Amino acid sequence: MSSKNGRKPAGSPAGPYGGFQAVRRWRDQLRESDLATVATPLSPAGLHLVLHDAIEMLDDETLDEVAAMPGAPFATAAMAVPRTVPTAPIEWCAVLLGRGTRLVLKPPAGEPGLVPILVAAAGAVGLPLTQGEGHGALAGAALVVVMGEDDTVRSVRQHHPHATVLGFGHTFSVAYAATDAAIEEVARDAIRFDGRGCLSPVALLSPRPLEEACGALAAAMERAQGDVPRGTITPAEGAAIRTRRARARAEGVVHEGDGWSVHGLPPERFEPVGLPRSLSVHHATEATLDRLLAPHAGALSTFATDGPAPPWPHVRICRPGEMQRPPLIRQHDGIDWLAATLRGRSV
Amino acid sequence: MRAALASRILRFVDSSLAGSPSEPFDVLARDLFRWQASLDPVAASLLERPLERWTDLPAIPVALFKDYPIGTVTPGAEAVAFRTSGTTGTGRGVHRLASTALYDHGALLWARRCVPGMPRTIVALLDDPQAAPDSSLSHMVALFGAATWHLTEGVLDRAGLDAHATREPCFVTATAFALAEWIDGGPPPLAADSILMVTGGFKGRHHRLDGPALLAAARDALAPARIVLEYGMTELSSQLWATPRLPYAPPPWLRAVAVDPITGDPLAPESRGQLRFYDLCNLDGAVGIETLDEGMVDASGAVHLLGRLPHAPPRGCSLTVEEAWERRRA
Repeated sequence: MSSKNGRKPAGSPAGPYGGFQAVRRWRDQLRESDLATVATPLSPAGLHLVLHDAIEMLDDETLDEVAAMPGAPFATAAMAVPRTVPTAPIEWCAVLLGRGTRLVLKPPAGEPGLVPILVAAAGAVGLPLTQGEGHGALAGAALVVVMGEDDTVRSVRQHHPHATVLGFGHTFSVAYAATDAAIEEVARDAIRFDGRGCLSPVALLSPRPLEEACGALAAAMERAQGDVPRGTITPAEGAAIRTRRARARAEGVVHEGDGWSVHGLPPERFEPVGLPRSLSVHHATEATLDRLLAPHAGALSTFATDGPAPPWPHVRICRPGEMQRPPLIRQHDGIDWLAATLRGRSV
Repeated sequence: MRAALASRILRFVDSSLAGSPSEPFDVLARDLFRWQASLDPVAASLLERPLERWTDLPAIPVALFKDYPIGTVTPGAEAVAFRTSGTTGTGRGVHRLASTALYDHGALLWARRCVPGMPRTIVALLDDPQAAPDSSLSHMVALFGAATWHLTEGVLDRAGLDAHATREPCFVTATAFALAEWIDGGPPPLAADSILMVTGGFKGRHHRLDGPALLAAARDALAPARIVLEYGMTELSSQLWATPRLPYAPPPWLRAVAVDPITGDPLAPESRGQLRFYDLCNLDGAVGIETLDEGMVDASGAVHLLGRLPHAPPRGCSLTVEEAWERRRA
């Protein structure tokens, strides 16, 4: 197989370790995984939902497109798996393993999450995926992928000066929606990963009156909770939700139910902080969006809107409901990750 | 109304310390809150249940001190404003006081009770309150005696410290981070009969020396006659004191409660939870404060401090030094 420009493709359906053909078998194995013993902060229904999303992103056509991309793969790679998004490694595994890169996944300490299942499924189809523990797990890899707090990313760069490090620090996402239908979809975005992770909406911005927008989102959050219950939250998350609730009682609107909350606040109280199944709502119009988000523009990952798309470079723009389901072939926080995971490719 | 409440609180402080409170804590706390809520819309907005006892009082999350003018003193009308050290990129919480009389009276009485034999010569690894009038910690330490100040914009005056701390019995007051910095420089032993006070942990940040290791290193390097620990907050007017490995003792006019951080419901004694404090000396601020610290409150009311809630953002008096230290490293 060769690419359209005649250069050797980075992967092939039957390359080293079985290439993308093996990845398809790995994906199919994951569909049948028994998640009963997997411990994550998500509820069982929440974990099924996000795992389904991640697997279905790996359709045959997309994998063929990735396989056809020209370039030389790294021999070895390691990835520090983020605590908040247990399915994050799946797309990286598919791409790197399909290209023949040997990959080590380092889960958060004491929280293996999905990693053992990904590794077992890979072993069954001959893909070179292993699990590592501690800082040593990243040592020696030619490519290191890390997602997490900015301090974590900085620390990994310092400790692995000879590796190509792809670091994704703190970013956040927001939704802008006016209609009930779009607000319903924002709630569906918020239930994925319980609202943690950089593609989760931290807030709903709406041109509708604050009370009205909060009411619509609250009804949608209640329905979403009925379909996919929230998992567990940490003490600090609980305290942070109650702190924002106190702000909303002081100068805004509070709606809450079992496992979810909606806090209407003035625009100046907007914070790019994601809390599990808890969204802040702020009044905004297309004319005021820029001003509201400007202080945080460098960290904005995804903007969902049911209106016209704003001309913001390096920000992923999508429709509500698609925030947590990005296509495999895309920019990752402004980085062409499919190119960056090939040796010598400019990003 | 303020004067009447101040008078009642003052009587409560003196009488409770003598073992015979002038009135029930519960009654005074609720009266204090009602007055505060009449002047502070934020406090009023947080009241969600009938005020049947003091545990029904709302506790204002400390983060709100950055957002709103909490308390009964109009911004600009305060005699003193204490400010939190804050973290990089965030605002600072403000505790405005119309007068520090209650603060000073309670702080001094309780410190003298908890640290018997406290030398009146103070050597402070803190900013001079003249230069940092918004530091509640410097303000409190200045009450204890004649002090020399050995920190300027996060930088320790090691030569001055070494000279003053060895001259005569002294009360050395330090944040944990400043103390760790001092010890790293190899200080001489303190003058005989000196007492070392340590306050503030690292609040989520890290130094080579931390917790018990810091205290052990302090014993080795400084050889103090005693070490005492202090816990206070900008948003409070009263402090808790401890000796290492023992719980912190609140004064009779301050009560602590551990709550479930997710629901906010009070927990049974000895349960691990998020700490709230109800401080009668907080006349001008808020009687109830909700921290981001984790601890257990035992049946006697003493507090076993466990640190920050996991993953809570760092804050505290040590940060002033830590931030300067990090800037220098950068």
